Amino acid sequence: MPGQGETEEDHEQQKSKKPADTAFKQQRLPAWQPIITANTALPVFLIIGLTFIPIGIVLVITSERVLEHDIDYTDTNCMSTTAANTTCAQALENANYTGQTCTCRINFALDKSFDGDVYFYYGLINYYQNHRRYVRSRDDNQLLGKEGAAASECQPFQKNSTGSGKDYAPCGAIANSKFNDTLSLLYGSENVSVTNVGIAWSTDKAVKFKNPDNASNYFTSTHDKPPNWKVTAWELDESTSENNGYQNEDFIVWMRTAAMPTFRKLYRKLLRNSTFQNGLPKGDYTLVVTYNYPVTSFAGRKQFIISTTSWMGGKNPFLGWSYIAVGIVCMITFVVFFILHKTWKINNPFTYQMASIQNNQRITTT
Amino acid sequence: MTQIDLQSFGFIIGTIITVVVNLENALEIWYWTKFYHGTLWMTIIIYFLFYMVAYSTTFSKIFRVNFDYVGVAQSVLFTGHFWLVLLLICAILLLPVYCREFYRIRFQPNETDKARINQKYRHEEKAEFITEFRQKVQLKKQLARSSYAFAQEEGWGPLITSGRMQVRPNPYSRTSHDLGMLHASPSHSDNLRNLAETL
Repeated sequence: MPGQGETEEDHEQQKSKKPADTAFKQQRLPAWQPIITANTALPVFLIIGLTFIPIGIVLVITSERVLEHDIDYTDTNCMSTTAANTTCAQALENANYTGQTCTCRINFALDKSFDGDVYFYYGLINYYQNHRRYVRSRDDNQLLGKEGAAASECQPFQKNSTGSGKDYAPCGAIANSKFNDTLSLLYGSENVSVTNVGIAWSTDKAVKFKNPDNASNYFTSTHDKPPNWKVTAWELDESTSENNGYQNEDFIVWMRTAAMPTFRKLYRKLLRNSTFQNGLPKGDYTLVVTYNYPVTSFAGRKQFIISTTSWMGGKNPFLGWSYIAVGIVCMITFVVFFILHKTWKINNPFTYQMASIQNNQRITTT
Repeated sequence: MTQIDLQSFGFIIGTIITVVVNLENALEIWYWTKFYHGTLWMTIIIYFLFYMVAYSTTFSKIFRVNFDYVGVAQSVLFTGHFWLVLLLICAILLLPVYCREFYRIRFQPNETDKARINQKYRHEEKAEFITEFRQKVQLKKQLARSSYAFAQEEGWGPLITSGRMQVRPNPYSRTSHDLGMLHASPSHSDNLRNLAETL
């Protein structure tokens, strides 16, 4: 009797271990089971080829419509107006980079009129703003105008340890190396009207940079300007108070570190009034450079770039040509696979079950 | 001369990696249950939603944090340029895998591939083959029965014992739902021979 009772309980226990009879637990879920066959793969290649080639053509045409003019003014183009027969780069080197300034004028001609919105950039080559230690050398809290000492990340540009002992405002290597050339355009004898607001990211200007309270006292007495700057942050744009101090848009643009060693940053935008209503007319122009920024010691180069834009950004033919190339490769693959599919007969690869049965039949009926 | 900044560049690379890796995984999967569909598409969607929220200015204002990536998602995801680049790189990275798989399945299928294709696609051919085969098997069954019946009468013994009317054992057959075939049991012919010898 006790034996039977035990086996019944065991039997029930064993019964309850069985998983429930649902589709999930018994692995009967409905599933799509795709297999790549010729009927699905060949149309895929064809469709990709047929869509990528027109997209590529559109992109190439859009990029060709963007007009661009570069002027490299690092050394030979930019001859000093004060010292005879020296380039501005040479003039700075002769003064041992002690903050000398140099002006030069470069004459050039635009052979096509740049219609629409025109943007002016400064470009730097061989300038590694993406160096890791450089990128970390900033204090975002200080840039929001908060109280407190400058962060130790800004070392060695944290405070003026040799002089007054005050913190630098703004601190860090990124801020210290701010681009400080002044570039302006003359159309004949007329100044080309440009604007220096609206060039930084709107999110940056809204959230990341804020002047502290009592800004003029902050920038002039309680804090020092960074060692490589000629003026304090409160003198960056004295005409517009929203564009002064940390909120100066040139400063904000510079603080957005570039990803590549060859980069350009937005400098000014054309203000379309009077002569420049439709853009830059074609003709002779003069670029007036106040050359402050030395780059020759690390084989860097500086450029001034005038460019229109499209919905895709600046001039970028590479994307269009890549699309065309991928489209052509797809079409070639389609043709090759189509020919192979029709001509390459494999020895009945699919009659796995049926071949063996057919073989069987032959044996038993003879 | 690029205008892109370091954080946007990193974000673009990260996004492309996430999308491409998920799609490559999708190419490897054989059974697309609803759980897999959900996982795959939700991974990609949640990636985009997460970064749009995390890098937004409202998030930065609410939590009063200031970091490098604020505004990056907005500046990258709302330009057409980024989506074109994403599409191109997905095509460049996924098409070779797709070509390789197609070539393998169509021209060099291994046993698993053949079985999968068999199971999914060859229904009509198999149905025709089965009906034809079944008729032949039924004919054979009639013959076997009649030779056994003859064994009860006088004079059929030598014919039976000669082995010409034997139903040979079928080493390749298997019971399957498709074919509905019955075993021809080897023991049946042995019984016949024993019976004939005892006569």
